[in-house]
Amino acid sequence: MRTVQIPYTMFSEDRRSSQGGLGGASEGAQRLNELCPPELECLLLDIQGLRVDLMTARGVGYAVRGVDLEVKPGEVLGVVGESGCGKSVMAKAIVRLHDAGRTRYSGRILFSGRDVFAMREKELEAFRGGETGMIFQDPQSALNPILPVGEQIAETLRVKRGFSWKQARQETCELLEAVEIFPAEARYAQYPFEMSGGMLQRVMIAMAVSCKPKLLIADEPTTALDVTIQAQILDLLRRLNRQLGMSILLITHNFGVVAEICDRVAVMYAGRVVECGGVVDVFDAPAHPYTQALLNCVPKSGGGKNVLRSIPGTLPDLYQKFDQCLFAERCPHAGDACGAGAPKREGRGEGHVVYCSL
Amino acid sequence: MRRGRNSGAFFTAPILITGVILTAVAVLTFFAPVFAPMDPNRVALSESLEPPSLRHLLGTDQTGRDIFSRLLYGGRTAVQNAVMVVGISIAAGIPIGLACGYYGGLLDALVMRCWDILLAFPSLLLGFLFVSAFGRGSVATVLALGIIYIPMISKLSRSLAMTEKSKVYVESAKSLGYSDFRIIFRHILPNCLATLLAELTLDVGYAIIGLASLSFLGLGVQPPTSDWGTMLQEGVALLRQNPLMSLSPGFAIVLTVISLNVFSDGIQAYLDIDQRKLPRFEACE
Repeated sequence: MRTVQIPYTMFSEDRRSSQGGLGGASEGAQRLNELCPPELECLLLDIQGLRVDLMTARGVGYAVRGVDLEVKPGEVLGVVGESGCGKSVMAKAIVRLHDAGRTRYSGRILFSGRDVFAMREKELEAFRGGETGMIFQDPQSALNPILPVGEQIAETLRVKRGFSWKQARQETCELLEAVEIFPAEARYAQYPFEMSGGMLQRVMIAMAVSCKPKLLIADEPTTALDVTIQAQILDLLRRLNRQLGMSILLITHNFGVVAEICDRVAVMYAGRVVECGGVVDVFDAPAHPYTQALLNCVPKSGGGKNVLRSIPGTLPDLYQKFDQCLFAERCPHAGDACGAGAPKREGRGEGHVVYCSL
Repeated sequence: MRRGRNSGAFFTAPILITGVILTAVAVLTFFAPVFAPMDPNRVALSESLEPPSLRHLLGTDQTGRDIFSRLLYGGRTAVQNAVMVVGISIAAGIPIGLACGYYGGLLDALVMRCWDILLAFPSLLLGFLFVSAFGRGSVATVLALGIIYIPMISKLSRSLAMTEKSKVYVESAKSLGYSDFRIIFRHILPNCLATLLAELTLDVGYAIIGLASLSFLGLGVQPPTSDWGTMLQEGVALLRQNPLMSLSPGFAIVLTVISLNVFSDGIQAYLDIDQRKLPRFEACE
């Protein structure tokens, strides 16, 4: 596959800094060092005991039930879990995107040490888009249907970075080329309905990264796309990550996607993280019964009989408060300890944690 | 042949016909001084209540004024005032409605209850109220009707904003850190424009009728200024002697309002891709 170098001008800060010091280092590593000096252990995103309760017509939904997660500068963290396990709710909570009147947050989200829940409206506006970018599952509906795509990207540049119309247009074209949309000039004036899903997702990505965010939150970015386009989008995301040192929080329910581009992975079940660790560690030695069961469900080529396995049972009622392990009723290894209280946090090797009482 | 998004006919028969009528009304009334054969207020008692002739196309009224000229000048007053009424309702109704729909909550509840109270007011009563406050004349009636129209357009914008607000593109705009103001006016409003436009065209028609009824009751435009509503009223007493005195402004009102309604329908049909009249296969290949 043809790869296009992201134009230098887009990321002029990096160019300036790369002129001094580390000659041979890639831009990403350079930026990584800048953001996070190796001698200091620092986190870009530190989620501590996050709970998100949503007020709905059916009652209070406890969508996220105490999540601890961290994203280091420059890494790609995958969050996997079945539908309804709170992945997207958590992702939106990072930029406080939920309807304030119907959502109750507790816990803390620290972004570069700043508390997101303590931000005032203006700070939050600068934080969204400026330091975080977000892409959504369905690009068709995530773009304004009646504005040309180029103008939508240019708008971000004008609003967030104070570009003039002309500058914004030029930069937009460069961004479009960076996400491999050609010819950029002609595509600039096209409307969302004139483009394919894959192309729109590239536009979304261009828009989300136009202000050089430190963290890109990708909420199932490839779910609505077919497999070949998926690969291209993942490739693009990885390139952005490597070349810009931009961290990515990738939400998906596809283990293949995780294996493809993530450094670390967190497995979520019913609003909690059940296991988190390096991709290789988790895939090779899944410690939580849920992770094991999930990985067991991934169909393998040449796996003999064409049996699609599933996990028996259903998700617990998310409108109820629970303290004990929520997976226990579906867990083949469940014992007395499981119902006795919150699952114990247990380290399994470096950076690999599992929440299981067994 | 590949076409852009504007394929399909805008100029369908109804739009074409009503478009011509509306353009004619607009041009004839706006440039009344050019087209009117004589001064609308020229009194000639010797020529009173004449039937139509070449000199007086629609005859004359009891004081010998030329009805055709008065019709054109009267139309100018009526149309201008109607547009002003709609202008007032747009200026206040759309931003308030969009904000209510977008924010919801207490603001929404309060404003909507105010509108409910306003809607419960008969427009005539409010007209009387304003006339007693500001004195007779078109200012009072335009203001009264403008205020009466705010709730309707406001409620429409509100419900449109509520629908749009839950769409993903608004969420994505929020995730980019746009201000609420920008999201409302740059992203939500343009997406509501199609429906609003059709509604506003319709409102101009209603405003013409509303103003005419107020004038008919002697509240609005004061003589000798000509106005369709005033003319209607003046002619009623002399319906036997010269029916054209009332019939011509009446017909003008009906024609304009019907045209506006049909035109508004046409716009809506064009803006809705599913309803839009598309060319035949043969014409495209």
